[in-house]
Amino acid sequence: MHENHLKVISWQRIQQLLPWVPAGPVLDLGAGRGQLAYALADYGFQVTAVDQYADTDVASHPRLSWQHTDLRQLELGDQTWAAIVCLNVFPFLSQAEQLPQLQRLKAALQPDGLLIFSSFTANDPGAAHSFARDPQGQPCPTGVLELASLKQVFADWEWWWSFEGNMHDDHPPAGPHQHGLVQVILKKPACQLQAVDWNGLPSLGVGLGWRHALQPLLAQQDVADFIEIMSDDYLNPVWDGHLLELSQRYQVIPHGVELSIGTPNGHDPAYLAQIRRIANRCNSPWWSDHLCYTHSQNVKTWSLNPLPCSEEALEVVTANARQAIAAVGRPLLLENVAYYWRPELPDQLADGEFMRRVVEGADCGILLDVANLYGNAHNFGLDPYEFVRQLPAERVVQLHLAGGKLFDKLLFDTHDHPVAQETWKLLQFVLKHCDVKAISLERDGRFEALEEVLPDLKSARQLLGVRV
Amino acid sequence: MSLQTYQNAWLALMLRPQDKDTVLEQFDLSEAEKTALHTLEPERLQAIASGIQQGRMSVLMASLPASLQQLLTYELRKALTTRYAERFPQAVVYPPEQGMGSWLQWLAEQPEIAEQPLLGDLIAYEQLLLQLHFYQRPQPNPLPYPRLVPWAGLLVASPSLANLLKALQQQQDLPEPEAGQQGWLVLKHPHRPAWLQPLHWSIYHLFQQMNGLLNWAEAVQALVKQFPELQAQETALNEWQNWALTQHLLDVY
Repeated sequence: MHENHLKVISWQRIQQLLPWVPAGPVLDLGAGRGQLAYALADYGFQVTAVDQYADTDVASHPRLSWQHTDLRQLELGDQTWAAIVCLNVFPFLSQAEQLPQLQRLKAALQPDGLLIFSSFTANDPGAAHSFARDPQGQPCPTGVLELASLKQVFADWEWWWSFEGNMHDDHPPAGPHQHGLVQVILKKPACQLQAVDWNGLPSLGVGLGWRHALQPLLAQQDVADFIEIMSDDYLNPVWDGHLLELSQRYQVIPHGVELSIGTPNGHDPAYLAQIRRIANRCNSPWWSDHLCYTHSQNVKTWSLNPLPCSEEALEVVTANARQAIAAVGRPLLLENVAYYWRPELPDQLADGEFMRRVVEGADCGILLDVANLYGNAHNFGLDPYEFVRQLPAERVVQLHLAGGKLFDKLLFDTHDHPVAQETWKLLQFVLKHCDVKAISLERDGRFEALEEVLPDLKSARQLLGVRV
Repeated sequence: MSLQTYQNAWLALMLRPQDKDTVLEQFDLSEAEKTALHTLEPERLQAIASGIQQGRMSVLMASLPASLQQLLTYELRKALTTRYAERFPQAVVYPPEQGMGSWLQWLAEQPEIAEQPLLGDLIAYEQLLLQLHFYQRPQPNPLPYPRLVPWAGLLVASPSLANLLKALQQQQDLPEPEAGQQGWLVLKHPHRPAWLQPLHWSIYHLFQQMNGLLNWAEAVQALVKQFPELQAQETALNEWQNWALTQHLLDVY
């Protein structure tokens, strides 16, 4: 075994990182017979395979298109591709062409996109076996590329992986020989999230929280305009293929329960990195979690605990929200939770005032759970209409609807019944006062009565007055 | 008032609602917080805490691997889940993958499970699967020498394990447990169901040696030193490297 055999780019190494390729088309340059392009299309990407030489023996694939041209003639576009795979295409270019073509690849990738690149080094011992020819048809020296030169070109990119060294090769007419290879996997820097234009967010219509048991319902045409997933169910990249499939059918919104934005110790960067990967995969216009805390340093209860509406909590949440937004790179909506007890402490802000100050301080939006609002009002004699009036109307981006259940006079947010009449009434008030972009229905139980969901979706759609 | 102290006190109450007074004494709460928490009626506290506990149990039940759901009766699963949730109120249950290792480990130790050798094997197999992963961002620095890829793992279990998994998959009668132990190579690739193959014990030990710090020949030598009866097989053991490479079982990252 040659010592570098396991160190270089292989299909396996590319395959392992596919969940980190953001949403968007993938470009395979120098695709040959399309082995890699087919595998990428099979994974779920829309792939454009480029090779100068047409191979008529290539089967079609619904997610794969071919362009039989030369990189130099190819229109690459600007920030077009989610990933560009460019394996050993540059040995076909003359030295003078290499750096300009690298700059074109650089511009053609989306922010957060991946470049998977391999070429021969300037010190390639197999230069005589390269493919670039001068106008007289004589072999050209292959490379000006070295790791150091790539580092200059991609100085501001995230360097995920690199290799520089010799690799054994064996093909006619040369026979066994060595090539000097330079290979990199790089991530283009993301754009910094600017101040959000809340009115400019897209209208998504009426959606449904994705649950496995709802699949029969979703198999029907036009049941949901968008899908809300539990982002915590997708933290393991092994579910990326499913997410990719879902996101090709629907606009997908990641909705989490484990952010714990009210925990004073800040967030786990690894958790936020996974949320970013999920939101990138779905190209979601926003993501959401709850205005609560689920855990402390030592205890994780898997419950959405209400925060006291204190100045200290306000500071903690605002700082955490800013950190989370910066790490995920997309607008964050915070949801009001259902609660069944909360301390009455001096100097507390009113619920609505607390939420308003959080979202204005951290530049968040609001996912207003109308059923929770009604439930809390029912359980504690609060005025839900006053709560809504205290919110900045343009920040109420999405609404949640669900039906709960009464236990001993307390209304519990069980998500397993039709939406209550009082919730519909409150919803109409919210829609009159706020610029809502999306409504989603949550159903987490009594799946045997799924027929209850359709009338609720229909009513929500009628009230929203939008069909996207 | 400290938000952190208040939160810690509340979370502790959710875990031990029956010990409200004792729990509250352990935290340096403000007078206002103490007063507020003391006004919380025990019935309401119990209702909130049991709601959380019910939710945890339902996640634990649902997150059991399909093979165990198939083999254990609903009643037994429910009894075990309740016992685990009550004994370990702090155990992480969601996302399921985060708490599954401890949940499975505890299950394996329960008398109802431990007395059935096939179940023990199955849990060991599921525990190993939890540790295997295929997708990962490229690792920046290579190891000096290869090791098993992260989606391949080693397991010692009964020789019946493959037949047990096949029977479960095809919903057939379970095999009789066979005596003895077998080394298995378990593979979990995202594009096909997990599968396993028996290994000769020498290859099993050889793979165990492959930790990225020895090359194959050095690992073979170390093995032969440990088991001199393998001396005659040294050449054959060296040739297994090609098999491992063609199966893409080795990597340096």
